Amino acid sequence: MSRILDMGLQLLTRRLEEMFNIGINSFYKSIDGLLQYRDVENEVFESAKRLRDLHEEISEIATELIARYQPVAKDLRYIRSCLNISYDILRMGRYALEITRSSRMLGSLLECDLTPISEASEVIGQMLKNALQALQELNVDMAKKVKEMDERIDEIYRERIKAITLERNGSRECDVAIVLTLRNLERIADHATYICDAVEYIVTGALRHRE
Amino acid sequence: MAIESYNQLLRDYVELGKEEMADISGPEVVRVENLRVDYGGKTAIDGINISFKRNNITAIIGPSGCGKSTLLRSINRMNDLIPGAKVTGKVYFNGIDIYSRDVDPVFIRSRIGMVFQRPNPFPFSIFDNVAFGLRVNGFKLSKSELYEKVKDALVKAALWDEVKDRLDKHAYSLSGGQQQRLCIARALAVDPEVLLLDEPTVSLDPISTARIESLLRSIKDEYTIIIVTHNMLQAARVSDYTAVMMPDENMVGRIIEFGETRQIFTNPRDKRTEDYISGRIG
Amino acid sequence: MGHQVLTGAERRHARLRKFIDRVLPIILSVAVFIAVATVASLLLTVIITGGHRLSWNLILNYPSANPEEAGMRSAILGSIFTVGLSALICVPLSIATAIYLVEYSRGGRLSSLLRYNIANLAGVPSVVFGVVALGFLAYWLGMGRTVITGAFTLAILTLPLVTVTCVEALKAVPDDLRLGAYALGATTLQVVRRISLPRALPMMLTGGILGISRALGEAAPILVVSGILFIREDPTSLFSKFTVMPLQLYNWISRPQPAFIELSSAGIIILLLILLALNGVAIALRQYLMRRIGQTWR
Repeated sequence: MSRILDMGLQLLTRRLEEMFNIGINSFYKSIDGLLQYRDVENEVFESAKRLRDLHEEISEIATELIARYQPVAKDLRYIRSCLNISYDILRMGRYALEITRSSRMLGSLLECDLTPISEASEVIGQMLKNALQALQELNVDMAKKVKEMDERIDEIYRERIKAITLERNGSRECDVAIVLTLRNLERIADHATYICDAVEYIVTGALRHRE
Repeated sequence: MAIESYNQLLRDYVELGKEEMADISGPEVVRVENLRVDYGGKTAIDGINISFKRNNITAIIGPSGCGKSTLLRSINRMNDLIPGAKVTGKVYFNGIDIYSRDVDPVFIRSRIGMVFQRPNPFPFSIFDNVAFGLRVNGFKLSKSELYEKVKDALVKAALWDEVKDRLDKHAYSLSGGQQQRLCIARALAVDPEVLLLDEPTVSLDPISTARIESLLRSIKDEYTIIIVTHNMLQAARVSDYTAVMMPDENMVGRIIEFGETRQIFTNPRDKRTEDYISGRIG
Repeated sequence: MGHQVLTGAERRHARLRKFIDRVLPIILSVAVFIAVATVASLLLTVIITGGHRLSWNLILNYPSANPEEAGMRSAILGSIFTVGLSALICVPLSIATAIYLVEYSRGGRLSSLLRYNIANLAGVPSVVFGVVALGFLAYWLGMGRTVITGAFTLAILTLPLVTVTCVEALKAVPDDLRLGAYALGATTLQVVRRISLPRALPMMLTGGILGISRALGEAAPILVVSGILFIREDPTSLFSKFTVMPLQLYNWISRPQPAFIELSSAGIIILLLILLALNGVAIALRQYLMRRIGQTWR
């Protein structure tokens, strides 16, 4: 028998998935804009706005569900996690916008060696897809895999910073652009892992504190 | 130091105050070990192990017929009054097994009070209702002392302001919620150590229910409260610890999970608890 | 559900039910009428036959062969003595039995066995009690065919009836109240004294009066025990010889003179008046007690 609460939870899930897809699109768009030097700022900005609206809507749904149905246990953990995840996706949208804005500020980067960025983006793209899947399936193994992938992002970021401080022959613009972008990408990856923490919390009830 | 015999328990109650008793017998007021109750040959509950901590509210929840009330009634020997009831196992009250031979159930019941599902005030005046326990337990009190005790109990039960001008009125002139608070006052008047409540708000409206819940929170520093409730959210609101009972495949009630209320309601360990409190079964 | 078209059978069934609904009250009121009419015609006959014979003589004089002088003084006194005494024996005994059955041996096997037998006892023909009392009390115990023997006979006769009522009265006390008192540390005696008994007393007394009424009307067992239809002296002690009103009436009815038939009708009126008075007392007592314990509050 389906409960009244279940209908509310389904609505919450649909909104969250919508947010997730917008967030992933916005991430790809910002990276494409950067790599191919296209102006995507308006589109990414619109996505960020839409994410903000959806985040508000999810908060309202969640508040109503708590007030009206007094969810407990897994239901309660799910709602709490939806709020967190929705915030994480909101932040992802903001970082995508940051990437777009900084690349526009610095002009064309077609001359630079952007391999670290494309490599990191590829990993992050995978992380985001897996995180979405982990959420949809409440799959803890999948969530753990995403968190392992995050280590690779940190590695790329650290290596790049070390490389820039040691090598002095590269172009200044390129270095700034790459470090800035990697910084934002690293934040996006962090949020992907937070989402996976939330999935784990829903399933097991284990809380992990964010750094 | 501990209480070693029933006679010492009796003596200590006469000679020592409740606080000193608490110091002697430690934080576990009631401990149930391997309890089993049969009614006319049919096992109602079995394998019950649980202990109740002093000055805490413990809720017992579970679907109908899981033996919650049976467990509750075992704690102050009310099962003795049910024909065909057989209790095996041990129930310790301040370290003394209340089912051992030399223990007088009447004394146990004066130390472990009970409030029932439906308000059951006696057909006397409000005052006489509250004074009943003091009178039957042979407290030697002057008129003014009796009045003070009755007043104290009514104040604790959050009923004093509503009835102070009509203590001589019949108890049945009160509303259902007031009657139930009167029953709580009646139980508190004899100053028990433990207060058992068997679904005390099941017949009351939400406002009366909320009053009783907050009154329970307000008196928990002085009493150890065990409340059986169908209403899971009431357990969530009011209790510090929660025990979840469930009938097994033979319809014998068992405790499937016991823990802090916070943990039970946010992160239950047992799948059946999860399903029950989320409204998926029961 | 919505509006459905009824099949023929369903429609017939619905019509039948409607019909029964209309006819049943008529049948029932006819039954009531028959019962009331029978009692009324009996009463009427008695009043018409014996009304003019009512006089103080009837109460104050001893029986006599002369119908103008004959009274039932000795029989009225005999009835008051034996029945009053039997009530004093029977009511406390019944209440005690009921308290044991309901409050002490709560639903035990012995209790249900006893209760079952007591209920059966109520169905034993009253003359059997007379024969047993004659053999056991009057001869074997040597109490003789006296007032005290008659009182015990009537007490034993009414005991089952009154006990059953007392048991019902106690069972009608809500268990909630009992458990509430036990939970406060009351002993069984305190529960009985403070809770059960005050609440059951009105109904118990009604039962007691019912028993007394029954005893007052009994002729057969007393005939066996006392054997006297005609006596011209007052019972003065527990060991006096005696007769009772139903026997006096029986005596008069069996005489050939029409005047005695009229006398017996007048005697019946007096018996009925006494019964009526007793019932009035019972009702008044019950009302008073109920108000005192506040049952009427609900």
